[in-house]
Amino acid sequence: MNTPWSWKGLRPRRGLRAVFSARFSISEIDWPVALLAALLVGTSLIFIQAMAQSDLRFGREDVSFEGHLKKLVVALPFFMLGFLVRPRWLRRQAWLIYAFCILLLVLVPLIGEERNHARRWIPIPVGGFDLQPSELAKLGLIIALARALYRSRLQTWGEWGQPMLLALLPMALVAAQPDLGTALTIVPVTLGMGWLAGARPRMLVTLVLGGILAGGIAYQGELVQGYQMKRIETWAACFDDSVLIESKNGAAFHTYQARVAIGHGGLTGRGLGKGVANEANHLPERECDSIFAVIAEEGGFIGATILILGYLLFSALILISSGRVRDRFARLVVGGVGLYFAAHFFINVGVNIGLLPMTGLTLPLISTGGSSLLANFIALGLALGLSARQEPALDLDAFRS
Amino acid sequence: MGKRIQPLLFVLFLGGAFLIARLWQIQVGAHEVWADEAARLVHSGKVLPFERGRILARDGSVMVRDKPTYHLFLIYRDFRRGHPLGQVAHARSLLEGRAVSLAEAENFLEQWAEDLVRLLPEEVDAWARGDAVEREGWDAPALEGDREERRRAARTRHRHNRVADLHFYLRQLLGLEDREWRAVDKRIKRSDGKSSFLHLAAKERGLEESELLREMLKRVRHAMEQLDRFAGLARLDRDGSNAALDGLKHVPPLDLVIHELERTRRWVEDASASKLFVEAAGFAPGRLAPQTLLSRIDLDWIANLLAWDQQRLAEWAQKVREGWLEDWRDGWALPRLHADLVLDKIHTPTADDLLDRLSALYSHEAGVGERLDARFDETTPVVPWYREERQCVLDNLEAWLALDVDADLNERRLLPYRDPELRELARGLRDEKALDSLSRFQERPEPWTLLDAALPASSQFQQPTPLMRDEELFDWLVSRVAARLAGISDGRRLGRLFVGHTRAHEDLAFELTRRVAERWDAALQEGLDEVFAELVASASGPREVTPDGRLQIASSQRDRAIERADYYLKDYGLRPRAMTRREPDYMVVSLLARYNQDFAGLEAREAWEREVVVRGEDEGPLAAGILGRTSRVDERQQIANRAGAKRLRELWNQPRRGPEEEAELFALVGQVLLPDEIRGVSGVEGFFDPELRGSNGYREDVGLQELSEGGVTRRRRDPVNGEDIWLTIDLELQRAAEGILAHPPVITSDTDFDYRWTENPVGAIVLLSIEGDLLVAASEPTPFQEPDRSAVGQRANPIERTLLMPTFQPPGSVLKPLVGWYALSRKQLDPSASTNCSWIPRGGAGYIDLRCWHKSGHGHVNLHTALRGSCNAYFAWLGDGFLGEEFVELAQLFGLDRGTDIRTPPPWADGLRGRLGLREDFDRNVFLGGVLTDRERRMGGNGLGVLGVTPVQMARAFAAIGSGDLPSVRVVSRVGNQELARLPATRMPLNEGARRRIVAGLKAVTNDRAGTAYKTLSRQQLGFDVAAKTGSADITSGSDDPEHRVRKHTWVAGFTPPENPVAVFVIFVHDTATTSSHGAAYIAESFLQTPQMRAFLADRGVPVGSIEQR
Repeated sequence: MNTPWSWKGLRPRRGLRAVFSARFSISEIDWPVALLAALLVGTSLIFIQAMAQSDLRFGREDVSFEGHLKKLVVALPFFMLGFLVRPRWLRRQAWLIYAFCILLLVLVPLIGEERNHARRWIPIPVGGFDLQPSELAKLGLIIALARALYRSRLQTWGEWGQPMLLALLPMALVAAQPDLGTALTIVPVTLGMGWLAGARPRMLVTLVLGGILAGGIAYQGELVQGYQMKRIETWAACFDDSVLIESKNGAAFHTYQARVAIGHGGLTGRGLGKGVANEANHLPERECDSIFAVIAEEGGFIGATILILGYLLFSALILISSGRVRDRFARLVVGGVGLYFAAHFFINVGVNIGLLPMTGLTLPLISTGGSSLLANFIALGLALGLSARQEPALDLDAFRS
Repeated sequence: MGKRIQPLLFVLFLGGAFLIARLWQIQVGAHEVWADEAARLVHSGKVLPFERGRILARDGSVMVRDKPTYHLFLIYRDFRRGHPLGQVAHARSLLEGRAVSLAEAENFLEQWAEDLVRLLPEEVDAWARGDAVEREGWDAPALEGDREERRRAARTRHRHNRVADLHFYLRQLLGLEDREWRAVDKRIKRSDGKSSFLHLAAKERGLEESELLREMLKRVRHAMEQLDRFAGLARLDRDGSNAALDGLKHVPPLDLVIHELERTRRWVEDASASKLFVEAAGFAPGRLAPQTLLSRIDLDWIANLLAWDQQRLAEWAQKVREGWLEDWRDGWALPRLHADLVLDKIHTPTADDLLDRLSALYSHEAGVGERLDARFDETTPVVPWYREERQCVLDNLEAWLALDVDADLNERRLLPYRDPELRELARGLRDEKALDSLSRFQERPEPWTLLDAALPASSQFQQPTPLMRDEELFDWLVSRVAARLAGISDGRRLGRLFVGHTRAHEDLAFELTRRVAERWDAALQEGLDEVFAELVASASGPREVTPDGRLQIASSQRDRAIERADYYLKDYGLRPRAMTRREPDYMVVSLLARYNQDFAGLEAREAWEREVVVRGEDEGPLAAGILGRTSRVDERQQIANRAGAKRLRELWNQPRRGPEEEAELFALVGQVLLPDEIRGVSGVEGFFDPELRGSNGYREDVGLQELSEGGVTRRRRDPVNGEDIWLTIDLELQRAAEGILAHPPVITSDTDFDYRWTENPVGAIVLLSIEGDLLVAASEPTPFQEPDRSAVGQRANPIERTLLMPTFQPPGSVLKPLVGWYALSRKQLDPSASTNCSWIPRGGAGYIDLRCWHKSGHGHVNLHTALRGSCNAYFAWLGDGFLGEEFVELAQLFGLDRGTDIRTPPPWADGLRGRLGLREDFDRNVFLGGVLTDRERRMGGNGLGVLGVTPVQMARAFAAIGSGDLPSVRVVSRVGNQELARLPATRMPLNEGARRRIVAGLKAVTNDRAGTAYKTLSRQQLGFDVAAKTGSADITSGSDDPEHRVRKHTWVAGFTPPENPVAVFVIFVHDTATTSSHGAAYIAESFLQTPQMRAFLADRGVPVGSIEQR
């Protein structure tokens, strides 16, 4: 059995010291990423506060600023967990973490709670908190994939077997909830990590084309669920503004409201708390899945573009910092986290601006949503913590130039 | 940076660029589109209604005015969610899967409320999976089958979706805030489901279970006490304004309110169900007979969505069918069709026009409104009936039934007009000539002959024709006409139905069309039932047909409808429904305003209401006929209003407008009638409607003004109130006259007195100032009376009679002074010349062939004695010497051939012809245009047979005798701030000395013992002098009178004082068995004896002495 060991003194570590470590230089922390993350959270606070104020003005109590603050406070320790965890411990416990996440997903249909026709949440007896295991599963998958790819460069089709199985299992469980949006985020993360691990471009292209073909067959063969088919049809039809306006009271209600809010923003925006999304309160999930529409309306094209660029920079910096990590496992985890944020961002914004069919997915670090924030903070902690460590590794890449 | 990172970054930023490009497209490229949509979401426009002008009497007393009032409205969704009665009834409906009525819930409210909050979360979860919930006294039954089947059935019945609704009702019953419920919800998740909702809520509140329960029951009791209090004050049953409550008049007020609530709930659910059906099937469910609908089509999905049982479903099917037939077809489409035909100024409507429109009722649903409106919208061509290819119900069978439907179904000849041979024929024969040929080609349509006989010849006749009363005859006629319409018939004849100007024409045409539609509909139902039977027989498998043989609507269609169910329920539930149109008591308004938290869904909204301030005998307004009526906008006005309303809607929905559009919007808001706006339709209300009506104002808010103080009022135009109208009517005199007509004096001492007439009096009293101001215009029966259903003839016709003559109304002997004056002036009649009123060959006394009322004759009479004794022989002799054109000239001189100028336009008149109200009849062909036989000339001299007059016309003619000037009559002296000067009187071009001679004769009528009105109108009887003339004109021979007495009109016309008169009076009595001296004269006497009349005369300096009691 392997025992934890220390670079200095080669003494095995036990207890928490085997799991967590704060032994790294402050200067090693990727401050630009931390700063951007703080800016994104700050942006979230500003807009959620404006929503709460707007609700107060109109006699509603849909959005609670205090509630959001509480969630942030609860999420902070999880950030520290991710930040301080030792990569070696993480690598060794990767299968266990993955198994735990899968177990939670399996438990959802059994003990989970149904809301809005979907069963995605498990009530936690302590603190009145509802856990959405699919959010954690995405992180679990990143860690497991990093573990699997730790020793594989995906040079042959055979090497794809394990990562594919690892990805498909949570995808299937999440899609069954049903939560196709979350399931779809797994695809770019998996493919992206495959690429980072060294997969050949031809293989990736083949996989992407194969995925598209499978999706097309599923759609044509009516293998996707009825409501999903309808969403896809609505999405396809709603590129035409007039069709979207005509369907505004039916299946395209959410898409229409998001489009109105975004389009209403114009170049410079309506001003904080002064958008139609906040005033009329017709936009569903405006503090959560649709928060980008609110920001785009109140901040306008300029504000939304700054957010997009900021987010891209944030994801890009994480990816870049992953390239600097010497440990292959840690590098893959950090890269996976970068892909995780990027995938969420593209899908969320794509849905809001009508480039993708309507699906419920949060905008990490900005949307409210306890489980999402929890997962985002752990992911951010992992990205910052793992990239800050320069522990030597004797892995596949240790002797590469 | 690793070489594997760079491509990722490239993809990342490429994607980012793509997102930004798309964002630019939406936010900058299409900004205006979405900004407009956003503005629509938050902007709210409100019409600010004007206040209609007041109508005031001569002395400035307000007779009618607009007053601010309140109307009681119910918003059912708010009641359902906010009141314990609604919460309990709906929670139980969800659980039991049947519509638990509010009345049922009220009986056990507290017990049921407690049962509900004592439910365990695990019980609710089990229920959502199809299991039962059992309680003492009631249970929510388990669904059938094993566990898996129950789960599936629960899903079909949407039980899992209803858990959230059930939670909502429980939360409301427990009185929990959002925050508290969230905490309870978490407790539910953390618990094992075995603690009741009550227990968990009590824990959250830190109370004992019993304490929270007590609080809840106290709240439930309080809510019901408040509802009871409201019911007691609202008194919904008092005025029978709600027809549905008529049968429930003696039940407690609370039950009435609950009944009304239940009625609204059913309306919301019925309307939602209908909308769901339309969404899924593409046509209104009412188009199918209930039996066909229920037995041929699977409607369980609607029942499941709305938690209905089969009985409720059947009630809905019945209701929608009734609604379609009565409300939609007969109440909306056919009146519209008729209004279109009547308003069509361009064409004389033909049978083809009628067919085009009738066939539209069965064409594709979405197009019906457009088809009916097509004539007025040049951009929408009318589709001729023979091109109507599809029938609404069969339109989209392939789409809404997942069956291989035979396309030939649409070609079925379910309606007569779809006969291919006929359609083909009509296709080639469209112009007038062709229609003629077609008429010749077919059998000549006999029914038109009957129609000619049935339709009244004169526009004066308002009564339903005998044909309309004779059901059998009418049915036969309709069947013949329907048969003709099924083909094509003589269009020009049919056109006459719609160009007729009387209500009777329109009623007949409407009834005819309705019955034709009825017959077509019966044929259609029969055919459709066969079609569906065939479809069921050809269908296979459970996806197409249920085991009990009902066709399934395609799941894609059904699912789309189901998806919108909540939206429809919310939409209809939020529509305010008037609980009663009657003004609620102050206490009700105060209660609802002060304790609005206790009256969820109940609102008292401000409105304007026309208030009659001065009431007469029958609680209607005084001078009701002159004042006229107001009514809500009818179909005809709506159609006339249509273009403006359409444009207004467009502007309304246009969030950004240029200055011109803005001005147009404000102008249209002022002009276009609101759907519930009051319009004057008759009398002064109708005639002066443009002045009485103001123009509406408009306020447009941006930013949800009503919710937020930060909202901005973007546009505002204040309403312009209508102008006041001052009448010349003297209220006190009018009241006296109406009182006498309603309760005429009964003279037991007169053996000839007609008691029957006094039981159901029909007549009029007019008092005119000598200058022409109408002081009194009293009619009986008054226009506001409910017609007596057993009454016949004019007794059943409550209309204004001082200006109208609903039947031929000869003046009889009151014409004699006019004839006398004319003869003296123009024919150089020697006043002393006499004729002999003696025996004539026809029997009795008279002149040649005209009998005098005096059976033994007056002997030798001259003008004075003939006037005094109303000798018919003398005036027949005079008439005998008149040329026809001289009679016509006489009528012209005294204004009997024209109106009395009462419709004189105000100075700002705007096309007077278009104005409604103040209708006035006159004989357009006086004295038959002068083409008279000898006998007619003798009758003409006596005012018999060849001339009809109204009381006001006669009063004006007597004013000319009294003063020598023929005045213009007016009834309105001032509009707003503008005086309406009288038109100048016309100096009579007749001899003044002759006039004085006539006045002397009229004075003798009342003050000479031999005068016909001596007993009633002498100075001793009245205390002042009057000059008057009595008159009678036979209208029947007496053969149809039970006592075989000749029926007649009788008159008294006169003025007072005889010299320098101040007022002219006319009494008209319709259909009496006695002469004027024994009837009308008593009414004149009573009226002239009234204190009001005496005071009026005294005010004008007429010496008024004491009255000698009879």
